[in-house]
Amino acid sequence: MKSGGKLILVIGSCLFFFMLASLLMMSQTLQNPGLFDRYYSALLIFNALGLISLVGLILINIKRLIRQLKNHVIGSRMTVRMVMIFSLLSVTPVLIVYSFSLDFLHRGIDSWFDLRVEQALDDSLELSRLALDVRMRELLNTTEKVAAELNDTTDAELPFDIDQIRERINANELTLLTKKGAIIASSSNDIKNLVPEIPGETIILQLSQGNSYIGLDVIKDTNLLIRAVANLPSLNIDKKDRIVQALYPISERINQLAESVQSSYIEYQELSYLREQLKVSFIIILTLVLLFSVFSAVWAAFYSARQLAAPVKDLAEGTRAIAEGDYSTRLPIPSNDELGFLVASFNDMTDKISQARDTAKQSQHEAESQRTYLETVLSRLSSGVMVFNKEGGLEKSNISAAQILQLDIEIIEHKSILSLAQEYPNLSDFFECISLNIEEHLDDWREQITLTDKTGNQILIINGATLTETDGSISGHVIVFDEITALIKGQRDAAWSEMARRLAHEIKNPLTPIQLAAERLRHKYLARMEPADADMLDRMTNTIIQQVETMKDMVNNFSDYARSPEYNPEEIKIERLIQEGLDLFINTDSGNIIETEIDPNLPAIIGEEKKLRQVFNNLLTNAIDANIASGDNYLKISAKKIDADGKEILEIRIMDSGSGIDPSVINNLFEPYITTRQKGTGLGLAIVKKIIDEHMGTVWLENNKEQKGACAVIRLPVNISINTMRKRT
Amino acid sequence: MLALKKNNLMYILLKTLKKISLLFLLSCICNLTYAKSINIKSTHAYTENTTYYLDTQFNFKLTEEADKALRHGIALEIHTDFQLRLKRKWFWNKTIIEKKIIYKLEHRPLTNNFLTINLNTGLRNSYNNLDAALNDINTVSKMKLFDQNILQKDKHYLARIKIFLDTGSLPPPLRPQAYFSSRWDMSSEWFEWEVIR
Repeated sequence: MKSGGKLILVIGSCLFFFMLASLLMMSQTLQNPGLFDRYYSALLIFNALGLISLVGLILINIKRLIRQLKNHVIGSRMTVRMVMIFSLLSVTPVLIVYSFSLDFLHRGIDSWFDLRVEQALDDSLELSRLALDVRMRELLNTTEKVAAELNDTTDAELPFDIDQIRERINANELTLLTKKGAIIASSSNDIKNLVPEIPGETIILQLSQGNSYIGLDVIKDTNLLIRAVANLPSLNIDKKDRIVQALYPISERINQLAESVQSSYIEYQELSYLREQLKVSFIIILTLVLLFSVFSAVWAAFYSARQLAAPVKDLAEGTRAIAEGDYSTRLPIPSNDELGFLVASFNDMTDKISQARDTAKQSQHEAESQRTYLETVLSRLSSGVMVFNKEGGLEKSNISAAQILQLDIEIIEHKSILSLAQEYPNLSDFFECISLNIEEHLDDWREQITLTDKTGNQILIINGATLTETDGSISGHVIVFDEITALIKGQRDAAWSEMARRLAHEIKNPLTPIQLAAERLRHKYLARMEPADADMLDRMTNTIIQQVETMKDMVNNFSDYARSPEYNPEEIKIERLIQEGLDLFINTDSGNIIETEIDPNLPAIIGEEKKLRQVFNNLLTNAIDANIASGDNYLKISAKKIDADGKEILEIRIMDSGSGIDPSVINNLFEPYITTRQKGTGLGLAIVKKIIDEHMGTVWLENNKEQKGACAVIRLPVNISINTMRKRT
Repeated sequence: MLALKKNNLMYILLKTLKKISLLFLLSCICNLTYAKSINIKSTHAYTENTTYYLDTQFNFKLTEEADKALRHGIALEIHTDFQLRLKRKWFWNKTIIEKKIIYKLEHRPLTNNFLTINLNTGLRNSYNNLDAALNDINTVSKMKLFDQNILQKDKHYLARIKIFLDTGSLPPPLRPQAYFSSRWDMSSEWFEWEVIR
């Protein structure tokens, strides 16, 4: 509980007890006026103020509750409901008791008063008066006699006679005095009281009118006394003004009875007079009690409802905090009851969720790290990796896979293997191979396939494995594939180079002695032989010498292919090399119609001029040979800068109008010793391919689409530095 | 039918509320309209041997309601208050001396007399009519107030006197009504005069 709440509770409790005590005191005062008589008004005001304070407390609570309802504070509706239930439960019986109490109050107070009782009291009072009246009349006669007696007494005798007379008539006090109040003589049985009682003005007035006075009086804190006052019946002018007063005692018993009757009568009269006021006062107290009870109950209802709703509110807020991901919420345990147990359980649950969240976070973090690690490893793998789910959809692939297959990773992901096969016809063999093996549910398989596109063959070796769950069910398939085109080509090139080197070595050595021997034969015997034989020898030796020359050229070619000469890259203007190659063929007058379409703003490339010149020479030679073979003479050379996959590329096309290339061999023509020409060595295109590879470019052959003939396409990278090129080679 | 109606809770509640509200309403109106009929007939202050004395004759009368209550056995307490106050310029006047004479007035039904009891001295006087009893209360004779030596020469003093019925001494059920009703407002204004040494 907050300190403010505690303070309100203490103040409320104090107010409750003080008001209860003051109400009890007020009630007691009405029934027994002597006890808290003086504080009645203060108590009334205190209770009124207390009620106002309670109303204030309730209004504050209502205002707070309305504000909470408007703000949709958790627990406010529950508080409203509980307050209403508590208030109804407490107010209803109080109101019933109040209504019955009012009724009983009216009946009760009315029942105090009865006409017969009133009459009896009146009668008893009258009886008392009558009883005393007889005695008083006798005493008045006695007093009048004493007056006559004193009239005859001289003033000098008075002090002596008055005592005797008083004792004779059994009076407490006998006084002779003038009507103006001047005492002439007095006698009293009370020696302590020297001052005699003087009758009042009204008595003297009555006597002045000639009437005697007799009455019951209370004189000087004594009991009732009978006062009898009579005029002195003197005709003497001196004594005419004189009166005599005698105070007679009443017997103790009569005094008691008279006092009892009088006090009962007074009490009854007082009650009778206060009848309505008493009712109002009791109703006021009862109403105060009612209001006090109702307000206290309502306030207590507010307090209790808030106390009961507080842990529920805390729980709701805690739940909301957890829903929002805040697991640090700890709720205060309100008590040792079921609510306390619930809150403690909630705290335990929060702890466990928090721990589980931390563990999950850690696991997630570890998984993320593993994933990142795996992705890094996969991205750095030169092998392509693809993961398919059990339905055949592509779940994951690495960069190498995309590079090998020349696809965009983001586009192919989540596509099924069949749709990929349909979407990419050039890769259909690859995807069909995978699909077949997946369908057969082979745990581990290995296949080698060759993909063909315009730039050549692509040889892939594919490994597949099935991914299984812990229960043994298949969850997917992992495919790992490598492009081994370069490897195979390298092996083949190495083999060819080795063979060429050996051929050159083994063949070249005997060729020179053969040539020399043929020249010596010719030189020695030609002049000495008969013309017919000489002619034959001349032809034979020429043939030997020419064939040896041819063989020498062939061996040199082999040697060139096998040798890896030093590479000196430099900046080259490619259009110049093309023009030099064309000039060579134009000068030889091949009769071809040569069309050039060279972009005047071609960028320079990095390469070795001598080798690239050989490339153009070889390709132009092949084109012209193809034109000669077909009888057509159209030749087109184009060079332009293009943009391929965001990279600047220089593309050179050499298009002939020959008979074209058989599609079955079009991808193999760059391999050594594969040629379609009769006199070709089969090394020209192989050398071209080797040189273009050294320049990080690509070369391929394709048949023309709109006209007959074939086209050699060379693509060379533009923005390559000399160092990069040198390192590459 | 009438009895049933009278016993009805709502009837009782409404009646009670009506009484309370009327009581307040009437008291507010009456307090404004009723003039003060209680006053001081004569006052005579004098010194004898440096002692300040006062003779006063009040005109204290009972209202009809108070008379009725008295005759129904309700004892009334009538106070005569005297105050000597130092006059101050910037503050409230300071009460230096306060004297009080309290009379209790009762009706004795057996003798049909009215009894006055001086609660200061305990002296009782019985009168066979109310006027005589009230005259006893109204007459203040040679009331010893203070020694003149307590007065300083350069200071101004004010003496004042009033008579009133102490409603706080009434029976508790009567008090709420007495506080607000003019029928129970029996009080004179303060009669004030300057006292110089």
